[in-house]
Parts: sequence; C-alpha cells; structure tokens
Amino acid sequence: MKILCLLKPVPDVDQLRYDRARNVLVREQARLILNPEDATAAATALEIKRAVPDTYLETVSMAPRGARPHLEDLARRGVDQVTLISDLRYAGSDTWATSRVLARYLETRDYDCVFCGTHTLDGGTGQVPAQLAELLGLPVMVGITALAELDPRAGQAVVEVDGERALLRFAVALPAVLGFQYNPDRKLPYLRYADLNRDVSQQVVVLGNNALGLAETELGLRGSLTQVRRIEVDALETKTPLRLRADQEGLDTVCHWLEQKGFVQP
Amino acid sequence: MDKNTVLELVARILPASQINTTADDLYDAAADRYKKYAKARKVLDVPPPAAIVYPRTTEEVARLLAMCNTHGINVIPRSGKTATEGGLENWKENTLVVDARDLNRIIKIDEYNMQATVEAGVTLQALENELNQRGLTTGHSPQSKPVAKLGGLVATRSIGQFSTLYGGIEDMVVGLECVFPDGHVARIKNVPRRAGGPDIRHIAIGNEGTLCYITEVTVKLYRHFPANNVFLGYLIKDVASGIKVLREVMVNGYRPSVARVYSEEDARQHFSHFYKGHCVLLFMAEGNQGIVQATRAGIEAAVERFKDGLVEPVDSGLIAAWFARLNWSQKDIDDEFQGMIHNDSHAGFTTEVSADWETIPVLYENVMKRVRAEFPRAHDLTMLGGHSSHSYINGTNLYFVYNYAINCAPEDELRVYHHPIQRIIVEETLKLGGSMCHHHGIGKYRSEWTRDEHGSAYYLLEKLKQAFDPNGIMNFGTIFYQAEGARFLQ
Amino acid sequence: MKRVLVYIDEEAVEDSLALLEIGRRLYGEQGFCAYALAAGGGSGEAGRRFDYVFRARSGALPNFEAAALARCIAALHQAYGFDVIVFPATHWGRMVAPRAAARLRAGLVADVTAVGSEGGEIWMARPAFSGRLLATVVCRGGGPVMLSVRPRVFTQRAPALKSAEFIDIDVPDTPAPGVRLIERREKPAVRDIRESAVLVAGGGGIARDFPLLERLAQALHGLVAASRQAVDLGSAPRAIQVGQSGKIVSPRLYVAIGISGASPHLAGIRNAEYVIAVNPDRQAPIGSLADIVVEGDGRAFVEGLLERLEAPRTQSHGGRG
Repeated sequence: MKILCLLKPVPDVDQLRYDRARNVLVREQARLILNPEDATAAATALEIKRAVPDTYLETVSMAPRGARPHLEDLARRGVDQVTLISDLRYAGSDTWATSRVLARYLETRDYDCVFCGTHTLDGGTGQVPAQLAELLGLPVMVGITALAELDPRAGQAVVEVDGERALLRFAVALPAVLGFQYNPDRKLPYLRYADLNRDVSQQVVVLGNNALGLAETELGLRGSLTQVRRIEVDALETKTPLRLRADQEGLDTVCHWLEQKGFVQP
Repeated sequence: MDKNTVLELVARILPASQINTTADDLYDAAADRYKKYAKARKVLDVPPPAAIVYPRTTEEVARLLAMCNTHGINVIPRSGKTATEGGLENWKENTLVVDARDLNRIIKIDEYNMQATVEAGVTLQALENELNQRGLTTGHSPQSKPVAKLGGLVATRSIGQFSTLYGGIEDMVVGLECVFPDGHVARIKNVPRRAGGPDIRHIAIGNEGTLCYITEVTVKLYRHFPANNVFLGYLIKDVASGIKVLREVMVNGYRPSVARVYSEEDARQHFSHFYKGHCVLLFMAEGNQGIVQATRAGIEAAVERFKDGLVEPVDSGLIAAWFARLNWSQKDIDDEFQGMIHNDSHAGFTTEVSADWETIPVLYENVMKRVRAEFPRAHDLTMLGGHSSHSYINGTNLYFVYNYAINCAPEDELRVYHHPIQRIIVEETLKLGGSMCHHHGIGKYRSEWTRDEHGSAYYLLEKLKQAFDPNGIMNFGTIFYQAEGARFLQ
Repeated sequence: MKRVLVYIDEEAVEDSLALLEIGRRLYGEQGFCAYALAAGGGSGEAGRRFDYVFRARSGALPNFEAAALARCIAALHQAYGFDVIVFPATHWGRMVAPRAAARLRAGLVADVTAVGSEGGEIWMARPAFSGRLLATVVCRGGGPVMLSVRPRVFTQRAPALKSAEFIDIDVPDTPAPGVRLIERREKPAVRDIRESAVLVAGGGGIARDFPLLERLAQALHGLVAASRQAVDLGSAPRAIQVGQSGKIVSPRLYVAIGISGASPHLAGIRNAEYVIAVNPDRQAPIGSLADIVVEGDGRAFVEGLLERLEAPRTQSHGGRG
C-alpha cells in the first residue's frame, strides 16, 4: 500500500511578520511547526505502516527551504520519502495555486490514498484537500476522526466523521483524499537520540518548478485566483479589548456580540 | 553489599516509623527537578535509593552518617526537594536519602539580637510567617520559598528575589550546626563577626551535601516594612540598555531589593499583558520610608540618564501584581508534573551565570548567537532569552531561560535539548571569566566543569573533600566530577 | 440584474438561507436575483425567500456528494452566469465549495466576515492565524466571486417573502459514486474540551458556581472548562483543566470567568479565536488575549447573561448585524 501524506509546516503565529510593501507574509524568520492536523494524518499513516510493514509512506510539503530540518525528522520517524516542493516563484500562492502545484506533483506519483489535515493553523481555509481532489478527480472526505479500514484491494476506506449533530461512517472509494481532524492522542512517534543525526538525505527529495514545469502564469501571486489587498496586523500585537462592566449595558453588548459572531441565535 | 543489608544497618539506628521504603517514594527520590520530565514520564535512568530516612535529632544524623561512612553507603542529604541541578539525584545502588522532614522546629526567634535559629527541615515560609507577624523578615525570598527548607537553602548557597538589598544566604547565616561523615558534630557559634582564621561557615554553606549534613541554622533578621514597597517598571530597547541602568543604580550606592532586566522573549512569558514586544526593566524598593524614597529617586535618575534606551514606563500596579504571583508553591510543582504526563512539553529550563558589568552584555549576545548557530535542534526552540535578577557592585547575574517543543523520546530530552544549550552557556561564561553557577549550585550536571570554574583554586575544594569525606560517601557525583557517573552526563 | 447563488446545506437550512444577506449587502434589496441550490433538501424553505430554487430531478443529492454537487454548480454557472456564489462554511459546505471553485477556475474566499465593493470590485475580509490577522481579499480571473461564510456571522434583516420558481436540474454524470454513507449515530454526550468550539471556563473567582457555568455552556452549545485554581479547589475535574498543565484548547469562543490568566493558562488558550474575560480586576493578564473584558463579578455576569439567553426570544437584541 502506498500513502501520500500532505504536510504543511506553518509559522508559529507569535513570530509572524508581514511585509506591507509586497503584501505577503514573511514566513522565513518565523519558527515553523508542523500543522497539527497534518501531523495527526502523518501519525495515522505511520500507525498503519507499523501494522502493515510493506506500506510505503511519502510526505509531501510545499514550503520554504527552511522547513527542511522539520521534514528530515519525519524520515527519522519512519517516513520512507520526504518530499519538499520549494521554489521562490511559489511565494504568495493562494490555495488554488498551491493545489495546482500539489496536483501536478501527485500526477507523477503512484498512490492508494492521500492523507492530510482538514485545516491549517495559518490560513485556516481548509480548501486545499477538496481543491486538490477536484483537480485529481478523486473523492474527498474531511473532518475524519477515525480510520476504521483502509483496504486498497477492496478499493475502499471506511472513515468516521464527527458531524455537527451525529457521528457518521462513510465508505470512500480509493484512491481518495482523506482529511483528518486534530487528535491530541495520535502523535507522531518520538525521535530517538540515536536517530537524531542519522543521515536521511537519501530519503529527502527537494524539487522546484524546474521539475514540475508549471507555466510562469500559474505560479505564486500570478497564478492565484485570490489576492490579499490589505492586511490588518494590529491583531498580531496584543488585542485591544472592548472594555465593559457587568451591568445591563455591558450584558446587552455581550449578547449582541454573541449574536453577531453567530454563537447564539438572534 | 545489597539493599537489604543497608536496611538492616539502618534499622539498628532508627525505628521503622523513620524509614521509608515505599516504591513510589523511592522512585521520586531517585531524581530531582533536573530530570522532572523523565520522572513524570516514568523513564528515569537512575536507580532508586535503598531508603529514605527521617532522623529526629542531630545525634541520629551523626549515627547514620558514621554508619554509612563505615560501610561505604552513599548519603544524599535532602530537605525541601526543590533542587534543580541534580543535587538530589541518585547515582548509586546503595544510597540513603537523609531527609530533614522531622528536624522541623523553630528553636528561637531572638527579636532583640535580630537572629533566628531553626532546624534544617523548617520551610522558609513557616519561618517567615512567624517573623512577619512580628514585623520581621529574614530578607530571603527565593521563588521556592513556600517549599524550600533552611537546610537545603544553606547547603546550596541559595539566593532570593530581594538579594540586591539583603544579599544571598551566605550573607544571612551567622552560625550553624553540621555533622561530618565520621559523626563529628560541629557547631559554629552565632556572633556578629569574628577574625578567627578563615570563615569556616563557608565550608558548610554551599557544600551541597558533599562534605557535611547541616542540621541547624541561625540567620539574621530585619525589620519588615511591606507597606512601604515601591514598584517601578519600564519597557526598554534591549538587554544592554537595562544593564546600564542597573549598574548606574548600584554604583551610586542604592540598594533596591529587586532590580531586574528581562530580554524580550523572557518578558513575553512573564509580562505578555504589557511588554508590547520590548525588554522589561523593573525595580522594587523596600525598607523604611526614607530609604525607599531615596532609592526610588536614585532609580528614576538612573533611568533618566540612560533614557535613550527607554521605550516607556510601565504602570507600577502591573509590576506589583506580577510580583505577588511570582512564587511557586508545591501545587505549582505538582501541576507542572501532571502537565508533563499529558503534554510533550514542560515549563522550560534555566542556566544561571554571573559576570562583571562589562562582560554580561557581551556574554548574553555570544550565547544567543552560538545557540542559534550551533544548537542542532534550534528549530524546536519555543523561547530563548533571559534576565538579570541579582546585581552587585561589580556585576550582575544572567539567568538564561529556554524552552522547546520536545520532539524526542522523554528519556532523551536532556541530552537532545538541555545539555547542548547548557554546554554552550557554560563554555561561553567560563571563556569570559564569569561563574557558570550563580545560585542553583553545581549539582551533578555541571560537575564536569567544576575544575574549570575554579582553576588553580580547585585545589582548595579538592582538599576539603579529601579531608572531610575521605570515603566519598557524601552525595556522590555532586560538585566533584566522577568518571563513574559520566554516562549520565551525556 | 446581478445574480447570486446560495448553496443550501440541508443540515443547516436556516443558516444557508440567511446568506442572502451577502447579496443584499453587495447589491441592495432590489439589486440582484436570488438563486438557491437545494439539491439535498430545504427547497421548500428556500422557495419562500429566493427567486429561483434548483432541485435535483433524480431525488435528493446529499451534502457529502461533493464531486457531484460541484458539477451541478459548474453546470448552473454555465447556464446562468452568476456574479457571486455563497456557501455556508459548514462541514459539508466547506467540502463542496473548493471543488466547485476548482471546476470553475474561480477564486474562493473562506470564512468571510465582511463584504463590500470598491470601484466595481468585490472585496471580502476574513480572519487568519487564529484571528490575529484580518485579510481583505479580492478574487481575480473571470469566474464568479465565490465565498463561504460561517453560520450566523451575518444576520439577516427581516427577509422579504417571495414565491420562487422551482427548477429541476439533472445531476451531471460523475465518474463513480465516491462516498457512501454507511452509518449515522447521534453523538454521545461526553466530549473532550479540546474538541468544543465554545468553552465556558471558570477560575478561582467563580469556583463555587460551576453549576451556573454548566447552564451558560449549554446555552452557548459548548462545554465547561476550568483553570488550575478551580481544579485545585475541587470545583472541576482535572480532565477539563486548561493550560500548560492541563489541555491546550483552540475553541472559536473562550469565555473566561474569574480567571486572572497566569501565563501557563494563557499558553493554553492562545489559539482561541475569540476570548471574553470576566474579572473584577481590570488589569488581570487575561485581558491581553481578550476581545471583550467585562470588569465585574463573574456570578452576576453569568446570571445576567443567562437571563437574556434562556428567556423566550420574543424580542431581538440584534438587528444591526
């Protein structure tokens, strides 16, 4: 069985900077962490690999080169191949441009299933799994809390989804894009001291657009279908709260705010 | 010799009620807060002691030590259990932890002569509570005050948050009683001063349980004027700017009880509600009204003189509120422990060093640069910063503070993360002539540099060990490097 | 006349219908023609609010059939040329929208909290990075402007009653039915606080009144959480403790009552999107993460809020939306 797992290194929010002139987030200096939901997906895949040793697991990340140390650790944790798609020309890609790059790469790979997280910590749109599925012509299911079955021979996965009102169980035809929900108890296996400096360069594949060959017009900001016009970064510093008293007026304001934000029905 | 023989020997000295061989307690006694994470995850690599014993008198301590000395049983003296540098960690199969739990009497509070005598197992908080009721204080206030006990505080050369005014514990102890491995009980009397040869108090103060067992301590007392306390805080541009102000205050002869500079990253974890991305400089002045007002004026003048480094003042209410929450209690310690069971993280590590005024800013920058450039897991660091919190006429300390996402197995955490960072800090400090151990003691995990710390003066330390503990039964592996323990030092 | 299509999620019909507000904000009450795609259900309700309602001729097409639904939307766009297509940002809406956008090669903006137009161009604002940043985004290319909106972010002013024309559409052929529902179970009651979108957390300041917090949590469809101090005082089990020594949570809304916010606690809630802090001390550090700081007694606040939330909702507090 061959599993591809999409894994996004995301910047630590506390260290974000925004380049106002270029209108892009400067992610290079921010400490990177693995997007927690993607890590849940990868941990799930590694569990499968432990149970079914001939499973081949490849992670695919589109990220700046600074992500390499994090990704190398994945190889030390048991991932067979770690793929880093990195190209300065991809900077500023929206979810569409990102999906297109990922789809182009996935088209060159053999796989039974694509794993990923449902959302990312940074953008939080959750759009890539479904956009990618559409581009590849695959079924998609997101918000998966448990993988009950993954059987490439039968051509199906059985997954559990925590819906708004009920727990649902779906059979999804393979290959498919499966988006997992964060599960704090499903963690990536620990790195061992003996493995820390193990040379994993043979398992790491770094490639850019020269290999993928997308047209210039499909790349980065130019290839994006959405464009950020303005960013309000004040929220990056401490928030400036609305200050109220616990009196009638304060309570009315809180009630109205809760309605506005959709926490209570008006 | 096996553990049963050890227990038989102990049973000849103490009744069963004073001997603890409960498995959980022995596991807990195998390590201190240095290996807190491995301990919480139940992956400690060090052996449990044979027993924890609770002597009730100096005489019982003397008999226990003499017995251990005869039979080559390792002794770890222990009181409040707040050690952070491995001083309470056990590296020997046959070990007795001698706990001062039942040496817990406040013997005398002498208000006229301004001194108090307590047994080793009295918590500093208990003593302070008694003293505060009488308008007095010891002036000692480490973060561990609610838990730490006088015996341990003296044995580790502890320092408190008000040290800039009151000094470290070594400035407070007037006399003490301690027991040596051969069973000899030495009482150093309580006098205002003496010129009777070298100051032998300092053989016991800071010995970290490697030379003797401290059973009783007498400390100085001071009048306490908490109502007069004044807090001052400032946001500043960088650490070096803050150090300049600290120096200015000190060399002009002012003695604020608290004088601290926090790096931006350290400020974020303490003052996230007001630091605005800057370094923080803060002071507390205490004492009688006249001194407080003069100290305040001195601080304000120093800040004014170096106002180029100033961003803005901080509401003093914020500093006072922060300070009121600063100490950690046993609850905090237990809670961090619980948290480490559930999460792949802990509250961080520290390494505390000191150096003279001109060295400190250089040292800070050197360490920051080297950790970022050389530490192989730099990408896992979630914070790296520090603060200066104890100032002197000729220099100050630096408390490096760091934390990281723990991406390795719990048993590997120290050697993957803390040890490489600690090594950089210690090497850089020694290179510039500073001290690698400002106030936590050397413990076990900096013993490989004890010789470098003292240079040619190490001769004195070595001779003390040979003279007082010729059989090497006292706290094996602490302060004095032991090749046998090197496997733990990786 | 502008054309706005709203995707109706049959499990969130009211929330989907309310997205008409987007059209009203962009084009005014009379400025657009309202289309609804109610392939999985909800066409009856939609019929009273929209001008045109599309139904699946072959019977209900459920919300998890994202591939087929995306094809329907693309085919409808070919036929009608929508200016704007709006999706509820529900679990299922979020799965359909990106597929449809990919088919149409159209820009899609998720979780929009504000819309407007400037020089003929539609802009949308959305929070990112756990609400620390607000981005104003525009769509490029020739496709329709596509967006998703979280339920109840926009409240609709008394909607005009309409009588829609129903149009039955054929579901375009999809290669294979990719997703099949095999079981549906109602949710068990006990939930992990880490999974709840709303947390009502109590600290030492309200330790005696946790039953009151339960009621508030219920009213807000969330769970009760606690600070370390409340757990220490025995008011709450450790399983619901938030913070470095408890659980790290990332709810949409965190209501902190009587919690001052020591840094280990703040570390546990840094990813909360919105925080309301209720504390007698206006300088409590929790304020640094809060969107709203209510200075005062926690108990009085909760009681007052419950009075408003639990009362029969005869009169709207909202309306300004």
